[in-house]
Amino acid sequence: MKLSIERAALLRSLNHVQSVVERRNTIPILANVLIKAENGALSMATTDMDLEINESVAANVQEPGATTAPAHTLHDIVRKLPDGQDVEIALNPEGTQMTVKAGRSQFKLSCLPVADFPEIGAGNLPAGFAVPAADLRALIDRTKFAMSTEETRYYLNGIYVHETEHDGVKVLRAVATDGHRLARFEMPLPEGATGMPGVIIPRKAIGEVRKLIDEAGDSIQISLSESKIRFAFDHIVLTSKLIDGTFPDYQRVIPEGNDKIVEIDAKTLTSAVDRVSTISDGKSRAVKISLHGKHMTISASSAESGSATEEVEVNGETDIEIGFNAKYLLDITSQIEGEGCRLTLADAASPTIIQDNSDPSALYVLMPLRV
Amino acid sequence: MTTPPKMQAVEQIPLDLAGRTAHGREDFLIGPGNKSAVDWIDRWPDWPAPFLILSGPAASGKTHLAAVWEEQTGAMPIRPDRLLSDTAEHIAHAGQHLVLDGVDPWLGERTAETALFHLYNILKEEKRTALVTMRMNPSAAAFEIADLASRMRAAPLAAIAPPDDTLLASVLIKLFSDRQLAVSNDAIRYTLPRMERSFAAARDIVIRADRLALAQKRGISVPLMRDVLAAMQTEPL
Repeated sequence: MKLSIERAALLRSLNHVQSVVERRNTIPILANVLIKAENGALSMATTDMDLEINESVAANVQEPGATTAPAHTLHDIVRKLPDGQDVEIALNPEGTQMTVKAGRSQFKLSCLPVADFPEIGAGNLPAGFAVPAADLRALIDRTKFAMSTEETRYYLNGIYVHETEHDGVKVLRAVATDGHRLARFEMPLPEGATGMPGVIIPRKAIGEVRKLIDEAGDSIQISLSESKIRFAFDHIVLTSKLIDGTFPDYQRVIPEGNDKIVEIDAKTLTSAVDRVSTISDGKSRAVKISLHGKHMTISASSAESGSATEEVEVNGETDIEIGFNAKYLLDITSQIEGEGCRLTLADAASPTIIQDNSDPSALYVLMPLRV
Repeated sequence: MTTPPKMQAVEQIPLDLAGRTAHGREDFLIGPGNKSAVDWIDRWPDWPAPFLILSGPAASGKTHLAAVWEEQTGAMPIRPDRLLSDTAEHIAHAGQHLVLDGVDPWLGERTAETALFHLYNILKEEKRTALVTMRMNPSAAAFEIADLASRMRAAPLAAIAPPDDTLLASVLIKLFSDRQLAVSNDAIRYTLPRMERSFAAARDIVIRADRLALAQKRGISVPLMRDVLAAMQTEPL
């Protein structure tokens, strides 16, 4: 194998693929990137056994071939090379060592056999549809903050994406929850998605897809089965196993009878909560929201730091006092891009619904703190 | 302006994301205390009377076993409150075979007992069957209608006895698994000798452990079970 490629193009692709490789690996081959040179293209793949990313980029291939080399090391090397240079990559005849040359620099990397590299990306994924990149970005951004990171609840460690109906319209809906808050986003059901299985896309795959969206074209092709999902960008294909679990019946925790409604400018609320929560201590970062008539008072106190209050005006009149984790509240209000956000409350121990006044596609449920 | 709150012992309230109970035949855990009840279910249609009474304490698996029988026979579940609001004829013809799960609250109620008595006779005449579940043993229940009492007491009784340790451990694991929660052997071993020996206690413990783990983002471990058992002494569910 022998090829040369412009440093910036190689670095961009390596940036994408090295991200899947875990820093600590007990299986040596999983630390490596699979490199294939053929037909005027260099393709690179990495995997952690649950997630595989494969990217191809145009290169000047002098001798086709394939090998695997340490992904992070190769990435670090290319990152440190001066911009604008061509990088030459060549494999020795024994297939045990890969040389990376650029300008006056030369590196020799140990290789592992291509046959050892596990491929999880293969297989037939019967359901398929295209999603506009902007919609997929919104779907992820509006929900990912609510995913659980707690391993005991493996079935909450991702975003549940499924087909359903809302007010008689077929929608593709995404839901994430960590048991303290829940985020729901929906978009019109893409053509071809009818009959798709409901799937839980793991947190790591969500993170990697999100990074790739900003560089993607207009549309992303999604294919899936009961156990795998594949996202195809222009020259990048990301395949992930799905979480083998049942997502809870989330509808039952979205209250329908909340009758205390107030509207407030989202940015005003966000900055007031952020300021007041400077005083909150501990993991819970408690803030108390007191609504009296048209006034909202946000307050916090801490045995060590002191106390804080801030008053803001709201539309709508109600009387209630309720505590929230400030971080959870900020996670939600910072997703609201429109001017107004609506809080629909019941009482101090029940879920509150938060919505963007100008965007019905997202809905957030936040559980209070008992204070 | 309101006074800044004193925020001590702040506690996150979790969403109520309860799991689905597995009611398949293979999910039913058999031990010495419920073996004879399972045998009665398996013996169908060879029952000596139109009613089989399935009796056992709260959360002992009556509803689960009834669901197994329902699946096996295609029987129609009947909400027992229909005994008050509907006629025996209507109820009898809702399905070929019937399940009445949890009739205790309606015993002692003349209208409901009359409907149940007629239902018994209709099924007997038409050689059909019903599985009737209740917490009490019919011999200890107070009936209003003597004819119903004699039939209920003479009907075959599939009684579920309190669980032994092995079954109780399996039930705990099953209830955690219904909630998709992995639980360590250590946590089960810690809990068993310290809990009340009943199915209902097992159910309460699992509900509490799930809720506490979700609220505090913890795994189901020995320290968590210690907190759960301590809370059971002081706080009602």
